[in-house]
Amino acid sequence: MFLAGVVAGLLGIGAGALKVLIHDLVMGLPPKVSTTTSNLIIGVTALSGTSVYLANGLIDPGLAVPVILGVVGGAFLGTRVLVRLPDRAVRMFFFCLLLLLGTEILIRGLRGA
Amino acid sequence: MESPAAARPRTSFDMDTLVGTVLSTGVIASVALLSIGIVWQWIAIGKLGLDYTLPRINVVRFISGEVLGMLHEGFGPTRFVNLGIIVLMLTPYLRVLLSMFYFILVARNYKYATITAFVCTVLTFTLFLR
Repeated sequence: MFLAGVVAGLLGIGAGALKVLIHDLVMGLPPKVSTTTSNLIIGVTALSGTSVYLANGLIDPGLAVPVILGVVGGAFLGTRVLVRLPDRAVRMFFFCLLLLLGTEILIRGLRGA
Repeated sequence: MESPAAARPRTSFDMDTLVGTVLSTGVIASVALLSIGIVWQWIAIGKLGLDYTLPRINVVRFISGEVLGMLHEGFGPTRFVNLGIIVLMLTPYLRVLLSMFYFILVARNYKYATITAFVCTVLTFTLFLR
C-alpha cells in the first residue's frame, strides 16, 4: 500500500488501480468491496498529494475543472451501475481496464524511449 | 482481527450515512461552484477555457486568500472556480475529521480513534506544506 501511494504521488493515478489489485489478489476482498473501499480511500490520499502540487504551482485550473466535472458525472453513473453488476462482471471489467492501461503505458514508454 | 463494523456501537446514529452525506454534499457543492465559475466566464468573455494559474502557496493560505478576497473584492468567475477546488479538497479532510470525532465520542473505540487521528494529523500537516 505504501508503494501504491508512492506510485500515485509520482504518476497522479490516484493509486486506485494498484489498491484494487492488492485488495483482490493479496487481501481476497470481493470486487465490489474492493472498488468501493478504494474509492473511499482515494479522496483522502489524493488530498495529501494535491497539497504538495498546489504548493509547487502544479495545478492548472483550466485542465482540472473539465476533468472534475467529467469524472464526477461518470462516478455518479458508475456507482449506480456497480451495485447492479455481479462480482464476476466487475472483476472482468477491472482486469480488462488494467490490461488496457498497462498496454497503453508500455506503448507510450517504448515510443518515448 | 477487529473489523470496522465491530468498532461501531449499536446506536441509532448511522456514521455511514453521515459520511456518505458529507462526501456527496461536498462533491455536489464543488461541482456547483465550478459550473457557476465556468458559465460566468463563458458569459463574460465568450470562452469556456480558464487561462490563469494558481499561486504557489499552501492550502491554508490559498483558502484564507480566497475567503478574504471574497469579502473584500467580491465574486468573479475565478473566485467561484477556486472555491470549488477548495471545497473538493476539503471534503475528504472533513470526512476524516468526522470519523475521528465519531470514534472518540460515540464509538469510544480508541484503537480506531488513534488511527484516524494519525491520518488527520498527516493531512493537517500537508495543508501547511510549502
